[in-house]
Order: sequence, then C-alpha cells, then structure tokens
Amino acid sequence: MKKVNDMPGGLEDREINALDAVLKSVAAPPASDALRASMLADFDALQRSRRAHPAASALVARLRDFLGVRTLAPAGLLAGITALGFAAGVASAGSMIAISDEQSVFLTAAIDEGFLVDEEMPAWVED
Amino acid sequence: MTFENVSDEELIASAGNGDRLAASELISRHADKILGVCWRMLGEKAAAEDVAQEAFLRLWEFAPKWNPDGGARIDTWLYRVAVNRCVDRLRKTKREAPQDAAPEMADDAPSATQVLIGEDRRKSVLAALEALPERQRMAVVLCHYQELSNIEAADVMKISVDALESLLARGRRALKAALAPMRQELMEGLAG
Repeated sequence: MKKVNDMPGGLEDREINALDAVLKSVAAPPASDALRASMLADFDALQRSRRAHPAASALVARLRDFLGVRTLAPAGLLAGITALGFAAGVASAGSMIAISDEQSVFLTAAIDEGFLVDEEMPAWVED
Repeated sequence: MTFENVSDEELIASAGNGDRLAASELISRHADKILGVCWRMLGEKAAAEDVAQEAFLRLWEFAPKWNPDGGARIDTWLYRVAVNRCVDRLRKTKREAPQDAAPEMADDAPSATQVLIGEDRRKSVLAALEALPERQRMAVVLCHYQELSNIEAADVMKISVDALESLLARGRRALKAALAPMRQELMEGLAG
C-alpha cells in the first residue's frame, strides 16, 4: 500500500498496516492458462472479424462510440417491452374478437328464440 | 521476442494493429491483477474469470483507438472496466437471488501462504470483505490488494480523493469490527 492516510476518526496507521497484512494473507487465484487462452482467443476472433468485415466493424465501432452501448440499452429494453406489449395486445384482441363472434351467434340465436316466443304468444293467447 | 522494455502503451498500439504477441504480453502483465480484483469483488472464481475476460475483450475492441495522449494508463483503464462490470454483476445477483453464503474458495492448488493460514481464517477475511457495501469493498480492494494510491483508486472509481478516503475509512472500520473476534488468531497466523 503506497499511502495510508485516512479520514479523521479512522484507524491509526498501525491498525491500517495490520489490516493490510491480514487482507493480503488471503491470496487470489492466479489467472489459469485456460483463461489466458480464452482472452487471446477473443483477440484472435476480433482480428478475424475485422479482416473479414473491415468497413462494417469500423462502422459498428463508431456507432457504438457515438451513441454508447449503455445509453442504448435502456432504450432497447423499452422498445422491446413496447413491442412485446403490442404483440400481446394484438393477440388478445384477436381472441376477444373471436369470443365476441361466438357470443354474438349465441346472442342472435337467443334473440331469435325470443322472437319465436313473442310470435307464438299472441297465437296462444288467441287460442 | 522479449517485451521487457516495451511500455503498455506501445503494446496496446501494436495489439491495435493486430499484433498477437503484443496482446499476449498484455495478458501476461495484467491478467492476474484484473482477476484478483474481480475475485475479491465477486467472491467467486467463475464469475471473476468471466468479468476479467470481458474486460480484456473491451481492451481489444478499444485498442485501435487507444489514445496515448489521453493520459489513461492501461491498468487503470482495465481496473475501471473490471470493477464497473463487477458492480453490475453484484447488483444483478442481488436482484435475482441474495447470497448469504461465504465466498467460494479458489480451487487452484494452494500457495505457501494459503497453506500457512487456515481455511477458517481465509473464509473469515473473505466473508468480512464480502459483507462490505460494494463501493467500500471496491476502495479496499483497489488500495490494499492492488496497491493503488488513493489518487489512482479515486481515478479508477471516478470519484474525488476525499470521497475515496471516506469510503476507505468506513470500509476499514467495518473490516476491523468484523475481524475483531478472530484478531488474536489472525495475528498469530501472520506471525507464524
């Protein structure tokens, strides 16, 4: 640790150094050969992509830099949710129309039966 | 080919022009440090490796446009990308499933230091570190483990030096309190 200055009310240098020693006694795992190979494979893949599509990769890189991936992410998410909502709306609207048609058939039949009764009533009354 | 006297900036310029050996040398120089930060931030080796790999992928993408006059150092830039990705991942993990288990231990062959200190001690230190709020943990990891100065760590975290020192002070106090019950054991372990 290069610098041990601390905020007022913080630990004393002696305590900070002891804490530093304790923390450092827990060693992190070194990067494995497999991880290093993966990192280099990413580099190779990028070079291949750049060689195969030089104009496209330059354009994508410029667009990403200009717009910013993080800036676009929420907008993309919002657009995705909106599209999903629209699709769900269209689907449910179709099913509702189908149900309405079905209901209207029953309704028409019920009304027709009602008329039949109405038409039969005077005849029955006359009898 | 030896890169002993070649600076990081020269290496990144070469890597940006497709020089595979330069890219390999950058990995040799920085992979351990970046993985170490990620491992201490995330407490899990597989996740740490993913983030470290992502950080290097961003470096390869950025290499052709690296501006040596921009003032940023490669390691500072890599630390910044790595810790930001770690924070993203921690927040995502917290949202999906809060984890209260102790951090996963490294599954590599233990070093001499690791053999000397017991697994319980290791777990205690890592659990205390993991219990810190993410910004405090980041400050502690960058200053204590990566040996960055307060100015460098503040630059990585994009905060003022005062804010960094405040985070560091609170983080150290919390660590001291968390490790207090095993203070004697820790000190004996270090002395032994």
